Formats: sequence, structure tokens, C-alpha cells
Amino acid sequence: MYLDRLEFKNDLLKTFDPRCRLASGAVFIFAVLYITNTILLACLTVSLILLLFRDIKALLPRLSALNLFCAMLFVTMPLGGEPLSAALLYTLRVNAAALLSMLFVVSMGIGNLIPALSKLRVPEKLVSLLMLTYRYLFVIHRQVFYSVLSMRLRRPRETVTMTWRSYAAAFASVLAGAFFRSRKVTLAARARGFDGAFPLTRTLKWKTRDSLACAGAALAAILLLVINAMLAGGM
Amino acid sequence: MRREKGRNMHISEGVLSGPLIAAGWGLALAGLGAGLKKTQAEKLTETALVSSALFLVSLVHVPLGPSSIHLTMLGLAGILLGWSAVPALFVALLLQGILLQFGGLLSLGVNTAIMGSAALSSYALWYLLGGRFGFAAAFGCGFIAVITGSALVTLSLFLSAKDLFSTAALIFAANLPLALVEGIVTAFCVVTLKRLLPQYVSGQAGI
Repeated sequence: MYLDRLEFKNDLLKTFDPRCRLASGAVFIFAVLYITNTILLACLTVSLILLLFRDIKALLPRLSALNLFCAMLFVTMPLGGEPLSAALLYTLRVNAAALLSMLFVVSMGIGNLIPALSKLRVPEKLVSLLMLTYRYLFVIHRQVFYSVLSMRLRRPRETVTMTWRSYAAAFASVLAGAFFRSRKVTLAARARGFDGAFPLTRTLKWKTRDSLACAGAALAAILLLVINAMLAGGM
Repeated sequence: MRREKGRNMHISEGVLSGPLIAAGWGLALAGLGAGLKKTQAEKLTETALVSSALFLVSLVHVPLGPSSIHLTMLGLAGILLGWSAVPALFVALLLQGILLQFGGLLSLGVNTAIMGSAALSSYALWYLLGGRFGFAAAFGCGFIAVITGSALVTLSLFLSAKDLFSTAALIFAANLPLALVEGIVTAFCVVTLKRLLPQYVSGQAGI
């Protein structure tokens, strides 16, 4: 899992409210969905990579999973009678959307995302669930790793079914461990006066610059669509 | 943990059309509302821990012939969590998007609706059979979850753009044998869990 943060050439975005970043990111990604000009998308994708991301070598593996899907498009779409240019359009769109998502959302980290969601009136249960799930990912990660490793060292290599059975037993042991741990955590929390609510210490203050940034993002998205329309019209 | 490659049950950002994204979010919000209502506050820690465990387990390579696959564990999520599987999967998908760049921000709604429906189909089957048929029922739950998920992914891609039909059909066909593996692993998992934690796989409502 990528626990290390993405590095950007400019940290200006970090100075904005996380809610502003979420809204701006959503607006840009939505605009990208409606761009039909391949050259415009290619320029956008390349610009995002070159101008914003500091370490391109670290960036490319993050895009590998979605580019596997894109590679599949290049194979399946011609089989379905569609031109390769359509596959290229989807590839660029998917990559541009992923880069925008990394820029606006992924880079803010869970520490900023959780207070932003809380301030956006996302139900408290869901925010608490996100917080707890993220918290315990790192605890259970070790358990999964050692459980699967010990299973791989011990399992008999007789049949495929026995192999799957061994994996299933390893997964079941991890899940059982998770259940037992959750009981201990719940009792410990109750003993400390936990009442079901997790108070958030991080406060967010919406400033005028955040409103201006959102307006700017909306205008930029509209400009992209206008340029797309002009290019499509052949002007 | 090294970088893992996922199966195509997550729809990436930039593929789905605007109306489908809106519809996906509508369904996801409805499912989240129902799921959160049925999740008791004192069971949040259990739900979170099971969600974390399923998230991590789905990243493990399981051998299949000369290659290996990742299981979705949607069937197991439905059996163990019931309606709580929808918010748990929403959180897991959000974290996958943030940590692994699987899926996306706008497509989160559609992905949640698809995965949630798959888990709920498994839960419905498990609830109906009441856990009486043990191995066979659990196999059915794992199998049906993957089939439901794949069918919904195929439908989403097709509804988004007609030119994605061949890709959508390939994704569905590719997931058919994987559904068998998922069913078998889910069945063995449930049989083991029945010995360790029988109250959580009794066939009554999930957590």
C-alpha cells in the first residue's frame, strides 16, 4: 500500500480548505468526463504530470492498475468494431481523472479528509467507521501478512482445492482475530467513558480565498469545456 | 506490502457517463442510509475491524493455475456484516481509491452500489437458507456475489457507452471462473468461522 505521500512541485493546494479541494476536484473530474477532444485531453494529462508532480517515477506505478484496464480497451474495442482512437480517448480521460483525483483528494490525506467529511455533514457513524477502518488497517496488515506467510510455509502442495482451503483457513483466522480484537477495543473504550462519538480536534475555517478558489475551479472547468466545444466545432 | 494489481470490479474514474454517476450515487446513498440505520453504534468497531480485514485479505494473491488472482470477499462481507456491508464497502472503496488508486471519487457511488448489491445478494441468500446448508450455502453466497457484481459492472459500462460493450462482455466472461474460486474459498472460510465464531455465521442477521 502506498503510505508515502505524493510529492508535488507546489504546495499551494495544501493551503486551501479540504472541502474546497474536494469540491474543486469533483468539478474538474466531472468536466473531464465531457471532454471529447483527444489532443486537449493529452495536453491536460501531460501538463498535470509535468507541471505538478515532483517524482514521475513514483507516480507511474500508482497509475499501473487503471492502465491495465486501459490496455484491455485497446484489445477489446477493436474486436467490437470500435476505432483505436476511442480507446485512446478513454485512456487519456481515465488518466487525467486519476491525476486530478490524486492532486485534489489523495494528496490531502486521511487526516484532512475526515474533518472535511465531518464538516460536510456526512453521518457521524460513517466518519467514525472510516476513522476506525483506517486506524486498524495497519494493525491487521501485519496479522494478514504473518498469517498468509505461515500458511504458505506450512501448506501441503497436493491439490489446488487444498491450497484454496489453506488460504480460506488463513483468512478465517484473520477475521476471527479481528472480531476478538474488536471486542477488547469496545470494552476498553467503554471502560474509558466512550459514548459512541469521536470528537475531532481539527477545526476547519472556510475563508474567502476558498470561495474564490472554488469559483476559479468552476470557471476553469467551464473554459475547458468551451475549448473542447470549439475544437469539436473545428473553429 | 508490495503493489498489487486488482481485478476489474472497480470502475475507474473517467469511464462512466454523468447520468450514470448520478444514478450510482443515488443508489449508494440509499444503501448507505439503510446500512447505517441498521448498524448499531456499539457495533461500529466490529464492523470497522471486519471491513479492514476484508480489505486486506482481498489484496492477497491466491494461486489459480500458473497465475494468481485477488478475491473480492464480497460474499463473506454479506454473510458477516449483512446491511452493514454497504457502509463498510463504501469506506473500503474510499480507502482503496486514496491508498491504491483503485476506482475514483466520482465513480465511488457506482462502485459502492455495485459492491453493496453484490454483498447484499450474498446476505439475502445466506439469510434465506439460515446457514442450514453450511458449505453449499456459503459457496452459493460467494459465487452469487461475484456474478452479481460482474453483471452490474457489465451493465454499468454498457449503459455508459455502447462502445464499451465488448470490454464489458469480456469482464463478465473473465469473472465467471473466478466466481467459482470465490465460492470455494468463501465456503471453506465460513466452515472454519463456524467453528471459531458460530454466533457470527448463524444465518441470522449479520453483525
